[in-house]
Amino acid sequence: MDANTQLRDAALPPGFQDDTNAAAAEATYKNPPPEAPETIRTRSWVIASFWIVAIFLGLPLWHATTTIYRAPLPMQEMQNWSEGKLCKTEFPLLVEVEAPPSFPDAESLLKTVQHALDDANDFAAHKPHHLRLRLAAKKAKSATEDPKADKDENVACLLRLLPDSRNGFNHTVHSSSRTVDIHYPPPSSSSQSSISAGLAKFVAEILEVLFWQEQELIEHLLLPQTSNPGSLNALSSQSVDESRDKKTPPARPRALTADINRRMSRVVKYSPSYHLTFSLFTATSTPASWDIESAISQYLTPLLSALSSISNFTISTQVQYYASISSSVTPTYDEQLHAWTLKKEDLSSFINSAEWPLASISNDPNLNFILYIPHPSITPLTIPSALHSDSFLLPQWGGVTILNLDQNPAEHLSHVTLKPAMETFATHLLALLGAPPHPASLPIRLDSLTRQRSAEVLVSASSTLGSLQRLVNALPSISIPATVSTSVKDSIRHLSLACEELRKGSFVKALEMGRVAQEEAEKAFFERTMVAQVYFPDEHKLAVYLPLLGPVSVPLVLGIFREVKRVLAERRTRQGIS
Amino acid sequence: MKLSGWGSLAVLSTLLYTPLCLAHSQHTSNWAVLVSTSRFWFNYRHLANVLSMYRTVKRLGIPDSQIILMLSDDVACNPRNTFPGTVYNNADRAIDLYGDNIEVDYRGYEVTVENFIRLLTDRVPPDTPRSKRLLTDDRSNIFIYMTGHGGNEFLKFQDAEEISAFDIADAFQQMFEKKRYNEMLFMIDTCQANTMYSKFYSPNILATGSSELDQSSYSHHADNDVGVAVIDRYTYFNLEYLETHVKNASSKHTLADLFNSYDPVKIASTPGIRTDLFQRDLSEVLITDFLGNVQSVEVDGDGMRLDEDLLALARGAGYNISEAEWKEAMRGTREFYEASPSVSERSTLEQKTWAGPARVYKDGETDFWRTVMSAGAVAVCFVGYWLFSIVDKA
Amino acid sequence: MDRRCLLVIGAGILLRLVLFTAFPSLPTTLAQRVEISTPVTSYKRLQEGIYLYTHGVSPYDGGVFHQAPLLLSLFSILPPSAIVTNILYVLADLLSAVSLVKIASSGVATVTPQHVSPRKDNSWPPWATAAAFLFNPFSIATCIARPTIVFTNCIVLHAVAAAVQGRRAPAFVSLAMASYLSLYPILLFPPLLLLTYDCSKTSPKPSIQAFSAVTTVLFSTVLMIYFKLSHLLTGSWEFVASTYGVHLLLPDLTPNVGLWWYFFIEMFDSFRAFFLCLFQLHLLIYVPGICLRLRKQPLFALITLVGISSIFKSYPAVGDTGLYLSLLALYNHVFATMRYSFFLAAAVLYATFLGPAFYYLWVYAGSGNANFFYAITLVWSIVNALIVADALYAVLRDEHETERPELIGKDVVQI
Repeated sequence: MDANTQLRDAALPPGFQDDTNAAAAEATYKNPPPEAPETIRTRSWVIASFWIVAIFLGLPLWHATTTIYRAPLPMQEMQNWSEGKLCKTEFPLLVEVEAPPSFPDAESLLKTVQHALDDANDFAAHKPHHLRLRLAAKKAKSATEDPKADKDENVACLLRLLPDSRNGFNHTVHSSSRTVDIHYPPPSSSSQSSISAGLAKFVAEILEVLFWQEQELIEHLLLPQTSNPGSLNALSSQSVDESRDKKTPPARPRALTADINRRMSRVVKYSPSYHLTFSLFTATSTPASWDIESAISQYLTPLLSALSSISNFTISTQVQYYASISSSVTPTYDEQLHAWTLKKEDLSSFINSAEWPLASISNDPNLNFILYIPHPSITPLTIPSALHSDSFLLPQWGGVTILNLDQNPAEHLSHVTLKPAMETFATHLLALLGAPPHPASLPIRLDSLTRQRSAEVLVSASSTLGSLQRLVNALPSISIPATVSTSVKDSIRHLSLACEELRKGSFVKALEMGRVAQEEAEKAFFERTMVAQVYFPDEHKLAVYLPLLGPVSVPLVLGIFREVKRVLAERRTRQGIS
Repeated sequence: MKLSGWGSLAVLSTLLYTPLCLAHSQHTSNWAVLVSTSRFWFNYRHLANVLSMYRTVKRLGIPDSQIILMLSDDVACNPRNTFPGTVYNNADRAIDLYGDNIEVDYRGYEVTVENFIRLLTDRVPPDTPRSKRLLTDDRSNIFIYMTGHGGNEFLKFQDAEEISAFDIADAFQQMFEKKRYNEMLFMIDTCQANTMYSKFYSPNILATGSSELDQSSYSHHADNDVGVAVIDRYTYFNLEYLETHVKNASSKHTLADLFNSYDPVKIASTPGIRTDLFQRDLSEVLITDFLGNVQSVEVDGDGMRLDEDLLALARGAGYNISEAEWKEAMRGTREFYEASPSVSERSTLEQKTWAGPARVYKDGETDFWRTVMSAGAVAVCFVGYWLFSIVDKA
Repeated sequence: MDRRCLLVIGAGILLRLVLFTAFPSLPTTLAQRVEISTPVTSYKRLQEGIYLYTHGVSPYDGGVFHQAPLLLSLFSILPPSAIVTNILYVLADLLSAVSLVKIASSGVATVTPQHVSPRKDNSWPPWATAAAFLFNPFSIATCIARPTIVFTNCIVLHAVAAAVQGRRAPAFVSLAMASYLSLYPILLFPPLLLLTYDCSKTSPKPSIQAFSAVTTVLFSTVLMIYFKLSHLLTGSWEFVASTYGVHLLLPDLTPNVGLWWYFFIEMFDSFRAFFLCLFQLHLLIYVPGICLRLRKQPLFALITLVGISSIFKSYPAVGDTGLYLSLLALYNHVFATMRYSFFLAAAVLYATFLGPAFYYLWVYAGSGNANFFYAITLVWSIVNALIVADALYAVLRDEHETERPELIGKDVVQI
C-alpha cells in the first residue's frame, strides 16, 4: 500500500516569484527532511513481510499446484513384459497313453514317441507347446494314492491303443471326450520291433495332427509380443519393415498363415462375458412369435455352460416384423435350383443396418444371431455357395441364417423348427469365440480354446502395459494418478501368476489370472483422469501467468529494489564518513 | 504335417509372407467420427457439411451404432430458420439432411475438446453409454471428418476453446498404441486445414484437408431463403464425387480416384493429401474401406466346419444341465435388465456416510434428542463465552 | 449510551420491522439477489439445510448447504416461524449497532496509546456512527434478505467492541465464532490482538509475546470446541469440507459481486489449483504488512483488512461492504483528507444501480451476457479498492501530520 508515500512541499516558498535567480531558487527549495529511522525500519519490515509470504508460502504452493503428479510406475518391468522377456509362455500338455495289457513294451514306445516329438520341438525351438507322454497305468495308481493331486493335473488327451487286425494304422476321435482310439495291426511275433517303430511314428503324427492348429494359432498370437510394435517417435515405414524382417518367424506354409489370419480376423476379442442377441427378422407379419426361450435352453445352453469356464453369456431376443433386407441386395432367380439365390457380394451388405435395431445397450461385446425369414415372393431364398445350410457368418459380428418357410407359415415358430438354425448358431458361436474346427472332440476343442484365450489375454495385458509405458515416456504432460500405479502392479502380479499356472499346466486358472491382469492393465491405460493435458507450450503458460502476476509483482519488485538502493547508499555514506 | 518340408519353403514364404498387407485388407468393422465444431446460426454450413457426410456414410452402410456424430445441433430448430426442423446442403433443397432418422451422439455443449479426446482415447466416465463410445479395435477402419473454424494448427470448438494439431496427433498415437484402429482416414474442411494433420506421427493414417497454410476454405453457395451459406466447397465436391460415383457399398472406386477429382480452381483452395504414414497404395484403397461398411462374409463350407450335433457333443461331454440349472443361468440375463432397483439399493447403502440418526423423520415429527443437542450446543456457546470472560478477567 | 443513540437505534430497528411487515415478499425477493446472498450465506440454502437436518438426513448431502452446523442448531431450536426469524435478524443488527456505539464511544479511532489524531475534535458523535450502520442501504438490504453474514458481521463488531474495552476473552471467543461461521474473519486475528493489547487496562502490562501466546491458545481452544460441537451435532467431519472447503476451493460458481467466479469459469483446469492458492494468498499477504504499518492504529488496520477481504474473498456480498463502510464511519474525522470522496461516492452509486440492471439484462432479458455483469462487478471492486486505498492514505496522512504539524493543509506528492 502507500507505505512509502512522502509529503513534499508543492506550494512554492514565498519570495520565489520575485527572485529570478535560479541559484536562489535552489537554495530556497526545501529538501524533504530525513525520515526517522523508525519509519525506515517499519518500511523495511513491511516490504519484507510481503516477500516472506510470497517466497515461503507462494513459491511452495506454486510448485505444489502446477507440477503434474506422476505416480511411479515399474517402467522397466512393464517394458520387459511387453517384450515378452519375463515369461516364456509354455503350454505343457500331458498325454496319457492307455495300452492294452497285451501290448509288449509300452514304456519304450512312449520313449520313442517322446523322442520324436522332442526332436520336432528342437527343430522349432520357439514352439510354446511341450507334449509330455505318460502311461495311463500309473494314473490309476496315483489316483488311489492321492486323488487330489490328479485333479490338478489336466490331461490334454487320452490315447487308447487298440489292436485291430482289419485295417492298418488308423485312429478315431471320440467326439464327446478327450479320448482318441488308435488302432494298430496286432503285432506278429516276427516283426514286433518294426510294428513298434511304425506305431511310434503314427502316434507322434496323430499328436501333431491333434494339436498343430492350436499350436500355430498360439504361436501367431504370441508373435507380436516378441516383435516390438514400433517406437513412439519417428516411426518411419522403413524401420518397421526392417524390424519385421528381422523378426520374421521361421518359414511356414503360406496357406497355413492365410488360414490362421482368416481365423484370427473372425474371432471376437476376448471378454469375460459376452452378450448374445437373437433376432427374428421376418419380411412380413408372420410368423408372429418364436419359441426362442426353450430353443435356447434345449439347443444352446449345454454349449454355453460348457463354455462357462472361459466366458459368461447374457442373452436377449427380439422379433422385428416387416424387416426388409438392404435395397442394394437383389436376389436372382435360379431356374435350375428353382430358388432365389444370393451372391456372396450380396451377403456383405445383407444386413440392413440403417433399419434393423441391432445396436446393443450392453457393455459387453455383443454377438448378433439373426434368423431371417424372406418374403413369400422370394421364397425359397438360398445361398448357393453354402454347403450345409443357408447361413453365413460375419467375422466378429455374428451369424445369419435364412429360414425358408412354406407358403402358409404358422404364426408361431416351434423350437423344433428352430433346431437347425440354433445348431448353426451354435457353430457360429464357437467359430466366433475362436474354438478350433479340429479335432472332432468338443472337450479337446474347448481346452484348446482355453489355452488360446489365456495366450490372448497374456499378450493383450502385457502389450497394454507396454503401450502405457511408452505413452508415459512420450507424453510428459500427462498426469498419472496413484490408481494407475496400483493397477499396473496388480496386473504385473497376476501376469506372473498366470505364467506360473501355465507352466504348471492348469490353463483354466491361468486364464482366470490373465483375465484379472488384462482387466487391471486396461483400467490403468484407460484411467479417466489421464486425458493428456491440452497442448500447452511454455509461451502459453506465460500468457496465463503474466496478466495477473505481472502487475502484482511490479510494486513488490520496485519495493525491494528501492530498499536495496537505500541500503547501498547508507553503506556508502557510512564508509565515506569513516 | 511334414515338418521336413518347412526348411525348403523358408525362402519362398519369407518373400511371400507380408503380414502387414494381410492385416490391412482385413478390417472387420468401419467406424465414423463426424464432428462439426462450430455453433450459432451463421455456421449453418458446417452443420450441413457434417450431416451430408453422415448421410453418405449411412448410405454406404455404416450403422448408426458405429457413427459418432458430434454437432452443436442448434440450427434445425433455430428461430431464424425459415424451414424449421430441416437442414439443407443445397439451394435446391432436394434433401432434408435432418430427416427423420438421425442420431446425434454428442450435442450442444457436449462438443468439447475434452470430450473429443476422451472419445478417441476411450478414457470416458464409467457410465458412458455405448453410443457415445468409439469401441474400435485393431481391425476397425475409422473415418474422421471435422469441420469448423480453424487456423494454423488449431481448430476452434464452439468459440470457447480450441484443439491443436498436437493434441489430435497425440490422441491418434494413443489410439495406435492401444491398437484402436487398423487404418484411419482423416478428412478436415476448415481454413488452413492441411496444418491440422501436419503433426501426425502414427502409422496407417491417411489425411486430407481442404486448404494449405494461409489459405482460407470457402463456402460453396448460399441459399437466399435460408439466408446463409449452406455448404463448403471442399465438402461439396467430395460429396459430388461420392454421390455420382459411389452408388453403393460394393463400389470399386478408390481413394486415388476421389483425390484425383479434386480441382483447386473449383475448390478455391489447395486440398492436401498426406500419405507418408499410410502403407498401402491409394489406387488399391477402396473408398468404401473407410466410408462404407463392407463386411467380409464367411459362408459355410469355406473353412468352417458345421457340427451336425453339437448339442449331443456338449451333453455327452458331461456338460448336461438340468432345467433348474438353466433357469439359474437365465436369471443372470434377466437380472441384467431388471437390475436397476437392486443396484440403486446397493449404491445408497455404500454412499451412506452420514453417521447421524439413522431414521428419516417426516414433516412435523421432531427428534427430541436432536433438539436437546442443538439447544445444548447453543447453550455451550453462550456459557463458554461467559465462562471465558470470567476466567480471563480473574 | 445517550438518548440520541437510543433514538437512532430505535429508528433503525423500527425501519427494519416495518420493511419486514409492510413488504412480506421483500425478504424472498432480496434473498434471491446474487449481490446479497451467496452460496455460503444464503437463507434459502440455510432452510434447505435445516430441513434436511431436522429430518435426519445429512445436511451436507446434495451439495447445496455450505454453512456451519451451529447455525443449524440455533435455527432448529427456534420455533419455525418467519416472525421469530426476522426478529432474530433484527436483534443481530441491534447488537451490531450497540457494538458500534461502544467502539465509537471509546474513542480508539482518534486516540490510541501511540497516536493522537490532530483532527480528533472533528469526529462524529457515537449515534452518527450507529446511524451510518443502521441506515446504510447495504446493511438494510442484507438484514432483510437474511443471509447468515448478518451474524458474522454482528459477531465481528461485538469482538471489536470487546477489544476496545480491553476485554480479551469476549473479543477472541467472538472472533473464533465469526471465523467458525465464515472463515475469513480469521484474518482479523493479528490486528484484533494488537487492538486488545493496546486497550487492555491490566497493569502491569504483560509483554506482547506473552499476551499473544495466551490469546492464540485461547482462540484455538475455542475454535476446537466449536469444531467438536459441530462434530457431535452432525455426527461426522463432513461439514469441514462442505463449509471451509467451499470457501477455499470455490466449487460453486454462482455469480456474485466478487472477482472470483468469472475468473474461475474461464480458467484452464490445470491452473485452477494454482490460481485458487494465489487468490487466497493474495488476501493473506496484506495482513502482516498492514499490521506493521498501522501499528499505531490497530483499529484502522482491522478496518482495512475488513475492507480488503470484502473485496477479495471468495464469496463476497454487499453485506461485507456494508460492514466495512459502517466501520469506516468511525474514522470520519479523516474524511476531509481523502482525495476522491466525490468520485468514489458517485462510482459506488453507479455500480449499485447498474449491477442489478446488468444482471437483469444477462439472466432475465437475455439481451446481455455474463460480461455485462462481470464488468460492473469489476467496477464495484475497483471502487471498493479505491475507497480502501484512499481511506488508508487519509489515515496515513493524519498520522504523518501528528509528527509534522507544519504540513497540515499542504498538497502531497508521492516520490
